[in-house]
Amino acid sequence: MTDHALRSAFVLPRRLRNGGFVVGAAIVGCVIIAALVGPTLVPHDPFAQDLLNRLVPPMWMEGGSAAHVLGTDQVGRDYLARLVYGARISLLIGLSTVIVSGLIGTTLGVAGGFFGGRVDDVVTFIITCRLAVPLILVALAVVSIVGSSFFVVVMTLGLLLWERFAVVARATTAQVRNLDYVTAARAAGCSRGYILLREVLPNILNPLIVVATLEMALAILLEAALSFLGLGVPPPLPSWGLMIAEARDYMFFQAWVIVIPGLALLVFVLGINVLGDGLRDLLAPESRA
Amino acid sequence: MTPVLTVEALRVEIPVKTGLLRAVRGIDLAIRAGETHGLVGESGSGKSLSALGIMGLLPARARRSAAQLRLGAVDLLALDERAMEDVRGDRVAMIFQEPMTSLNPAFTVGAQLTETLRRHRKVSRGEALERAAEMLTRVGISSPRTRLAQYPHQLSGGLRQRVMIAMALLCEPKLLIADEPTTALDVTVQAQILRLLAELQRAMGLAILLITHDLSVVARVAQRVSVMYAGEVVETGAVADVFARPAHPYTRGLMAAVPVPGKVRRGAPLGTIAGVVPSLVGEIDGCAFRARCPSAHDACLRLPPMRSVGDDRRYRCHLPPEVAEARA
Amino acid sequence: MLRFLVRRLALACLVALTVLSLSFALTRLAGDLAVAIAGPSATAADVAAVRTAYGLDRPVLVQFADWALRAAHGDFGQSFFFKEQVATLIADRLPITGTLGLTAIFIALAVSLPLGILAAVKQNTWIDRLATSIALFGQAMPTFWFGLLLMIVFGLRLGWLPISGTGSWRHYVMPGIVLAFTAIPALMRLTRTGMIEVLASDYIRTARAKGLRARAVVLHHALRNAAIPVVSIAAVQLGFMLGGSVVIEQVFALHGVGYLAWESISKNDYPVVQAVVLVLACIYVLLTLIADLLNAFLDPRLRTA
Repeated sequence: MTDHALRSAFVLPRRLRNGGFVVGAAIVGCVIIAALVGPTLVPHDPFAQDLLNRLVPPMWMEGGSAAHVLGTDQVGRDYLARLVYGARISLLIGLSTVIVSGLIGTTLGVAGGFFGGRVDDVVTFIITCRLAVPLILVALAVVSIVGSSFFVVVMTLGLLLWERFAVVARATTAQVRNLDYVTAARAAGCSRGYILLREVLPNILNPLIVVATLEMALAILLEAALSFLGLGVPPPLPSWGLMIAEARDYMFFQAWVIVIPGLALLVFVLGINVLGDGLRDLLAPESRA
Repeated sequence: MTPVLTVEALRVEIPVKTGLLRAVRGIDLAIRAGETHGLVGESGSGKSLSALGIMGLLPARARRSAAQLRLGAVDLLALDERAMEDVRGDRVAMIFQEPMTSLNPAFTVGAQLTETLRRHRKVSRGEALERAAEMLTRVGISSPRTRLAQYPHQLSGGLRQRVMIAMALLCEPKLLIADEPTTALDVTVQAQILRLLAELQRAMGLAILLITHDLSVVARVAQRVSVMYAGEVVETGAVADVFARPAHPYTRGLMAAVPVPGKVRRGAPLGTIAGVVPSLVGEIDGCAFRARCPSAHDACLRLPPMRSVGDDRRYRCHLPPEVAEARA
Repeated sequence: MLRFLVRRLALACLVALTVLSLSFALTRLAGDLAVAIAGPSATAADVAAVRTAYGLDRPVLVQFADWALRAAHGDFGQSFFFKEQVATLIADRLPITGTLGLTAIFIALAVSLPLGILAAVKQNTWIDRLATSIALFGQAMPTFWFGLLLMIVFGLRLGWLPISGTGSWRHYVMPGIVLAFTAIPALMRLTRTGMIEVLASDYIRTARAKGLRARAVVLHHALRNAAIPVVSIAAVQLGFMLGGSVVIEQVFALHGVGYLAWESISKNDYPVVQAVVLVLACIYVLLTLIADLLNAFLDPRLRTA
């Protein structure tokens, strides 16, 4: 009992962290709602140019008007409309990329962790090669060579962002494989496939969900970077990164043109990360049971 | 003669989720120079926390209080952290249970030894190494110069514990606190370490507070013993007396639980003490042992007084000395 | 120890070879390279001429072998656009990216280490929360946006720092800070967790029992052990930074290797793209090797094992 007391004197209360989960979930929830219903609620068309109303500042600044709550961009398109539509893009890219990279990474990682030996050596080698390759450059090159489209961006990022899935899946699978109930299942004569599906997979799910949130955030940031450099989703689709790139020429005198989409990115990604951290704390003690 | 260590009403309390854990609930200790005092008790009885409390090494959330806490003439309660840092390692030293992890793996043995010396004394590097080598020889380590240049992971558990002892005694402290120093070691090595401690004590006039759960260790090297249960000292006295004629029911239970070759009949059941240690969170009404005591009666709901047997022994029980002795 | 080195070198060569093949395959994604090089207004004759001129009519495997053998000697061919040897182009620009990377990792360590140590020693206080917040924001911040913001504030509004080019050390401050923030979250968290773990260990208790001053215990005994993984991860992070510097180089107009790669990608200058991917990958592999060596050097248990 005294040992427990000694240990708990050093550990900080978990209550602090769970607040993060709530905040993160709230932010992500807002963005999802904005993405789903926003475009129908906002009165403007994100693609409609209005050259008479270029670079109107947001409502709370001088020269702003209630007609365009967040102002307009350099060709007169309503910022709020584009922002909300951009949320859809970020969300879609994030989710699709994570699905692709999750599948690839988990398959590799589970294979390595479960079979061990030569298979594991090969998997580790593949992961090392992937880490050696400069991520953004290759993504840029592929999109440039193959042509820019939503599908290409998702596939490229999905085929490149799987390494954390693989590493975590491999480590947890190896751990689970050595646990007693898996040995029991093998002793009872269960097939490898059955063991993989019924014993291993459910138990590695929790850490992988956490990885998924973090990778989704990363995918969104990367897509923004690609769009910023002109090699992301094709214009006129209002990716937030593209909005920043397009506004770059005007940013010195109207800083809000880049602050608004950048802030949207920051808040959304922050929300996802905080949600992921919160999930990790909520799921961690149970996954070890 | 002033005792080297005087402890009176030492309390250690740790706030936990469910309340306040009273790990040490007012213990008294007195140790004289050249004496080994055993502090015996099961895990969770509060012996380690008592030692950490004396040293001022409790975790940040723990709270310590005492009526008296003196090292010789020095009042430890009045010292701030910096003054306490000066005392530690110099006037009082402590060695711990796990020699395998108690030395820093990134520094050589020599570096860690000389560090202690140079912290508390004005000596040059060369002289510090000299003295460290001497000390290593004194604790029975051969080729000390080689050992000084080695890293902890290159030494065995027994050797590491000897290094710990050397490190603790380098500044010639008045008191050595040894918290389960032999528990993690092989039986043969245990005997060697205990013999070493006894030798060094004779040579240096050292006072030793030996914390252990192993009664045989106490029997072998200690002159006096205090038995702890649930954060309190329930009996204290000369080892020979306490072991031959235990006055407190808990001590009696402990003695009965140790099988002595020759005395125990084959096939007879081992002595046990029924029940479990009570929770130390919150208050305990009356005697902490009453739930498990074969002699418990109504009076035990009140906190028992500390009774004396002769002028040397004390125990905390309602049963008067004659009855307690008779039941021994 | 020697066996370990040899094995790692062999692995490194294998990785380099794989990346070599990957970068070759990358540029062949376009389908017919000759068409891409010749341009949209080329006639069939033009395309055929281009094909023979660049040796694109040979079988793919021959092309690959040729590229691989030449690359092993540092000959990456000639750039389509710059009309110079690719190797020279890269060599000229590598110092800029290198300076940027080293500046960034230095800043990252200078921020992460003290913050991480303080956060660990004073857990749950404002400084711990500050450190965690910095890590969270650093992770979520789009690097190009951060760069642009710094430009506006420190370049334009305050006028302290230049916003583009590579003239002096001042040109590397803002890009260095932005790049540093890609590594600060990981390094700070690692330092903090490492210190917390180490501070709870037995040898720290021994150090305190010896009467060592609190600062000596933390900065000498604890940090020495907690820093081991941080230093080696920092080397790996430097590798990531060098590979990912393209965005920052573009924002701040630093003509380094990343900028070169981006230009070449936009201009379909395939030899350059191929070569840059390979060179950056090799640098990364080298850095991971250095990370392992650092680990072994700092941890005596690994040295004599």
